[in-house]
Amino acid sequence: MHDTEKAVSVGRRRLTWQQSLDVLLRGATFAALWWILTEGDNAAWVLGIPSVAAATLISLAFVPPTVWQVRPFGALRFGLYFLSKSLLSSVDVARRVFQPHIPIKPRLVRYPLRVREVKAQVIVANSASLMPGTLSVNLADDVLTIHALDVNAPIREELGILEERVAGIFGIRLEERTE
Amino acid sequence: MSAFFQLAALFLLLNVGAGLLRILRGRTTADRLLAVQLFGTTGTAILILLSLATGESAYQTIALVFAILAGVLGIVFARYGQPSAPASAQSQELKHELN
Amino acid sequence: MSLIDLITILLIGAGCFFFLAGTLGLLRLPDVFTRSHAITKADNVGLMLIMLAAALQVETWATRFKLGLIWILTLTASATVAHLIGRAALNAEQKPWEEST
Repeated sequence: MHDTEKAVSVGRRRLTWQQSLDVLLRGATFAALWWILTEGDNAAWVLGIPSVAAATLISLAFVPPTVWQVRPFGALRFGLYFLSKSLLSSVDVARRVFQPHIPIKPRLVRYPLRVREVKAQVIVANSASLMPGTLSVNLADDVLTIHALDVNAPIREELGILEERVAGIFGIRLEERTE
Repeated sequence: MSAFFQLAALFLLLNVGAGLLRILRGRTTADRLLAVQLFGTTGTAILILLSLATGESAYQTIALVFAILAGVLGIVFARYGQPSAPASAQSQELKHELN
Repeated sequence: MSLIDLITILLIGAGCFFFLAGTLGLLRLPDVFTRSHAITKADNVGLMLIMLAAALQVETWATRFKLGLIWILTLTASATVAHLIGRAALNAEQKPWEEST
């Protein structure tokens, strides 16, 4: 953060090289969005370049440049885990609802989170809703409340693995739970 | 192929219709939120199938706007759609519905 | 019929199956929590399969990315709305359904 030697000047604010990377990534993301929305029409860049620049400046006004923390390998690992689990979750739903008597034993489960970062907690909560048998219904004071479709399923173990995968995106180390 | 895409879109439309029956029967905030979810996802799928059936890419743009609005709707419901009636009255209504 | 078309039909068929499962869950499950379980999970996979089928049918990569973008947006919105449904129901002091013995 105090890396003033490598700092570059953008406007009146001095940015570290990590913050500059954030600005570049935002610009690249908006440019990619423009490319997608115009379906790769080259002529549209006449409007596209000013739009991308404006979008980048507006986003910087709302969210100041931060240090990019995402680990590509961790994100990929989470993505694959999430995809396979969400596929399983809908197979699980289908398996239940097509039976004459739907086999469910729902309960609310309180799950104290080990991750403290809010963005990681939100990803855990939202991913849990798309995984087998769990639906996040509240997130407050580092405790995630889960509606479990089947109380006999290993809910806490599954949530523990999910939490580790999400922590892996940001390179966060999880401490052992002290209970 | 176009006929197949149309058939699949029709099937999903019937799904939305059946889901609406459920939502009409339950008149709580939570049930209305279920409608947002149902329309958001199934509606997007129907629009994509229509774009395939007609070869008209405008349907994809509608689907994109639909997807963005589904998120905004969720936020609006969260902010302003909280039960304003006394909580006990709301839960009474729901218990009645469940019995 | 080409192989691509055959895979497309299989993907859309499977997608429709999951949408049907979601709707069945919506109609048959006992309370708002369990119904939300069903449509959140089943409908998103249904949409994913239909998006994959569409990706096989469209011509440019820009369009495929657009389909992916739509899927991600819907997925995020759906998971968020599911959370809000649960919270609204909890705030209304609604007790989750439990099997009566």
